[in-house]
Amino acid sequence: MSVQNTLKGFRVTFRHLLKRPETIGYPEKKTPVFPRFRGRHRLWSFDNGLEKCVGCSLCVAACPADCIRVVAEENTPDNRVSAGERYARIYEINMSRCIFCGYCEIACPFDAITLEHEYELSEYDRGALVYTKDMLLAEHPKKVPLREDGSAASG
Amino acid sequence: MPDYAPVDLTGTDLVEFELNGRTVKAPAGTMLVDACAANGVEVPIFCYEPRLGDPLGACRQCLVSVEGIPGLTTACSTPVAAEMMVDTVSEEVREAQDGILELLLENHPLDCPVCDKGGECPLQDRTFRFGPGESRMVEPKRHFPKPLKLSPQIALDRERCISCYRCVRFSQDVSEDGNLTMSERGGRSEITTFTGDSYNGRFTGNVIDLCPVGALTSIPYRFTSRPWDIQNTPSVCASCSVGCNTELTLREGEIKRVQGRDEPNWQVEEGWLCNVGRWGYGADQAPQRLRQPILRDGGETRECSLEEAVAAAGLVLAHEAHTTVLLGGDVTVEEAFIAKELAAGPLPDAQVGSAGVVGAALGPLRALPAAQLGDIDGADLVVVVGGDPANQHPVAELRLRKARRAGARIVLVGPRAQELESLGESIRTAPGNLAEGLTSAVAQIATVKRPLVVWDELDLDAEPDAAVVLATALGDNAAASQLELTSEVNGAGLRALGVAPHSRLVDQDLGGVLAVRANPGAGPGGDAWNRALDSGGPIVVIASHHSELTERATVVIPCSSHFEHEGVLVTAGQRAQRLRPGAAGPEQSAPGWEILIALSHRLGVALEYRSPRSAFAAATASAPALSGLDYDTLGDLGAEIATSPASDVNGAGAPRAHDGEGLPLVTGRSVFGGPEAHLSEGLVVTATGEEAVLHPAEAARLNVADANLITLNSPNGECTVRLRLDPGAPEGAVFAVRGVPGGTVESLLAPDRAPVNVTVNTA
Amino acid sequence: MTAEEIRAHLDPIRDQFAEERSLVLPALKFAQGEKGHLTGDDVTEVAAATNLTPAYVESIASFYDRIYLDPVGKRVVSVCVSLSCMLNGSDELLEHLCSREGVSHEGGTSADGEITVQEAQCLGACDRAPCLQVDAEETMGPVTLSEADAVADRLRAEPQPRPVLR
Repeated sequence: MSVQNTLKGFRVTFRHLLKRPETIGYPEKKTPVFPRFRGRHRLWSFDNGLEKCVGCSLCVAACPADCIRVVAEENTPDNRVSAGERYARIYEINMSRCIFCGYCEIACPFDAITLEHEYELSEYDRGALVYTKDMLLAEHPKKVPLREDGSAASG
Repeated sequence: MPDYAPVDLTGTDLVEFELNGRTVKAPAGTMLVDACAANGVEVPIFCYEPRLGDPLGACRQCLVSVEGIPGLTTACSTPVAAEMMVDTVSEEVREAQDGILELLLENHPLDCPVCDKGGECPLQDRTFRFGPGESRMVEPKRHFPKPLKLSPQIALDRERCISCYRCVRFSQDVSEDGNLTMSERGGRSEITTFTGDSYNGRFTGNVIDLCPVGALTSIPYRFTSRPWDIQNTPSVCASCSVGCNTELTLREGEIKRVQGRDEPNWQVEEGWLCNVGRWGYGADQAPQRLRQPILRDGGETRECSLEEAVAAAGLVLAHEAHTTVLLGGDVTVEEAFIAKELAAGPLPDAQVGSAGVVGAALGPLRALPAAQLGDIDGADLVVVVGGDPANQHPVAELRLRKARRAGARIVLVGPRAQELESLGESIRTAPGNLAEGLTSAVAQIATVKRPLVVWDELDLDAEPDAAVVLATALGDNAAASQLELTSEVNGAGLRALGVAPHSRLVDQDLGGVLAVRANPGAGPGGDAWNRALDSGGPIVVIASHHSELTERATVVIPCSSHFEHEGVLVTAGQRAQRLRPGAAGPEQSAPGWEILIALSHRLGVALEYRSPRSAFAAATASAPALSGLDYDTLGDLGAEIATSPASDVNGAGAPRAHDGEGLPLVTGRSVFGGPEAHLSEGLVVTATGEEAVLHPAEAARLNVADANLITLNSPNGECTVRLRLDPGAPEGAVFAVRGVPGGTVESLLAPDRAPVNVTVNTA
Repeated sequence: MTAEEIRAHLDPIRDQFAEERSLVLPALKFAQGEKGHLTGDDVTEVAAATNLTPAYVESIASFYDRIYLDPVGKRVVSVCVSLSCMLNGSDELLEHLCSREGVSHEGGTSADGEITVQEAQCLGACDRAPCLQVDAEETMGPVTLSEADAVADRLRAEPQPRPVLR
């Protein structure tokens, strides 16, 4: 009786022993994200190098987490940064506050900011989670998680 | 900006009319837009602005239907009448308003994301509420190069202009300079000045507030913040004693902008600001700002912490046998009160004096019914005695112009050149002859219904006999009132607290000196003050900016500017008004009152005021003129303090003799050449300097030429300034502009501003 | 043209105007008579003579098509660009005249200084659209492109004293 009950209890366990595992070997393997997945932000430039962002702060207004800071300045003939009259001298996103809602992307009248597919954003230092404009304009650096002994996990 | 004129629905002359099917009331003759707004119905407007005089009807946005009037009519220019039937919401009206907006937007670039007005733009707001959802316009829009620098402080974006004429009307009908116009016509219309001219003037910045779109924007504010990045704080301007009500815009700890309030103080500035009030905040971010406490210890100068500086100040002052407290003319009532308490208790054997207290002999005049600036509007005769409102109390000029437009007679009497002479009858008196010059004005005061005298305390202090003449004339007409324009912003407040003038202290051994926002070395009798300060004990300076005095001081403690602390100033018309902190100020600085309290702790007798509010409460309890006031009764708009009784009549009426050789000296100060104007980055281009003015005939006699440097010598000192010849200047006197940072004209004067003569020579 | 001269011209007609500032138009016309156009100094003098600001006088001058703030040629040809004329091809007419005279598409003065082409708002000849006007004197229409050529040739050939106001 008791053996039968024990086996009954293990039924689910044994059944799953025969199935292929749902988990994958992250970080060596990664689950593909959906096309509309909202990950790390990216600021964009035109092909001629001028930034799309004009520092209008509409993303700041839209942000429910209040994690964006924009300080704008005027473009001058010898220092033309964006295509408009003004540009963002400072553009910072505090990733530790960001809730990845994507409102900034929706608010942006110039399609200057988008939310991309990177999600490996962890840092050892909280200060490093404040992304500056230069970081946001660049490709996301490949972050490689470290093993305890300091070597890279993916070899 | 106020959109609609205030409407009094409690009066007796109300008429009933029908508004969207509802029977409502409004005073007869009120414009429909205002009558509707008072009854809770918004009619969209762009060109209508109650303060710009008669409505123009330029934008056509306020079309409404009124039964009996064919078609639609503009609500801004239709006065309300009894039994009128007004519809502001019918399909016809809605379509018309929608259509006008579509038309206005036809050439508008819709560059809201880069526009400074975006987010606080009437055009945006009204397009959302009354306008079309989308544009049918596919043709290319009108393009102009942008932005255009209309003046060093104002940027013009002609693409955004909707030709509402508000700025043009301001220039033509309010500041009356007529320098801003609309050129060309139709689709090519644009706002311009005379070819090549910059739009210069004392009040030009107001067109920025007036502009209902982003066509006129402030260059110092350009692109610094968006409306959702900022906090606005109502406060009061401390640049002159008019005390205009302002709104401070704060972003990231700094003042980014000062503008007129949405709900202006109709008794004071009506929403207008002068350019110094608007852009003077730049002085707070100037390199001359004190950011670090300084200690001078046995020849060594070093920076220290705030705590260390206060401790050192307590130490050096406590060891003096006697001490002197010098208050600037702009200390708040709270600071002055706490400083007085310090002098009465913890400070050893202390005397208090302030540069802001002038005219002990003017008591009888001050005791007469006090008027507010707003009362100038309703006067039928305005006599301006002395002073130079245009340069010294700028916004008062706009009130005088408004009164003249309303039909008041303006009489200007005084020894100074005035820029307002074209406003009415002008009697330029030689120094010493003011009483005589008042004869005609006095006769007129007796014959009119509502005379009002605007007087300058310095010019009447120099000629107290004229004050007696004036006080007698005003006393004889029960409807007469007087408005004092003090030379310092809180002069009336210091007087109400019973602070004495500081000039009596200059000849005494000062002992240890505690100077709060004071800089006597740069004021009248500066040389005498510097001698007294050099021979006295250690100097503790509490100041917001570097000055000659901070160079001499043993301890320098940086304090808040008037944009950064809470306090009360008593401004023109004896009006107590609240300053509110718009920004935090430098890290190593503190509000003046807080430093004084901390100092009291160091001096061993702790004053227990935890906030400016409690200090003000104690001040009102001790000063009869302030009794009954507290922060809540002052609120946003301030309140009048009690008129001081005419007690100080010592020496009233005795003319003051001129000291020294040569021509009598008349001096005046200009806000546009003061510290704010010179220190603020946005204003320094248009800041005025020191100069001497002579009549050409007088200059020929003295053998000095126009635009040359001349030396003026008085018994008190010497100064070198550039000469300007002005055929309008009186013969037999020299006029000199003082009060310019780094200037030397003040040194010609005696500490008590006793009238002096000067000799004039080519430098 | 000095303010005194302008004042002397205005004095006899002063009482014909209810408001003093209405004198600005006769003053501008008179001042323009000297050179055929107004310079910045002329505007300042008119302002002094009429007690108005130079900015105001300039805005009035810029409003009217026939008060010129820039030098114009000996004859001025105005092409109406208002509704009726536009629908009947005034755009082409203007463009034709402009390219013929070698000026920008918005008008200007030909290189030989003979003819100025300018846009004008309705000249009151909608029944003859597209119309053009020579020196505020002669309105003609409907004008074909070849007729416009003929007009321009005729104007070049015709000696014409400079009129006061064109």
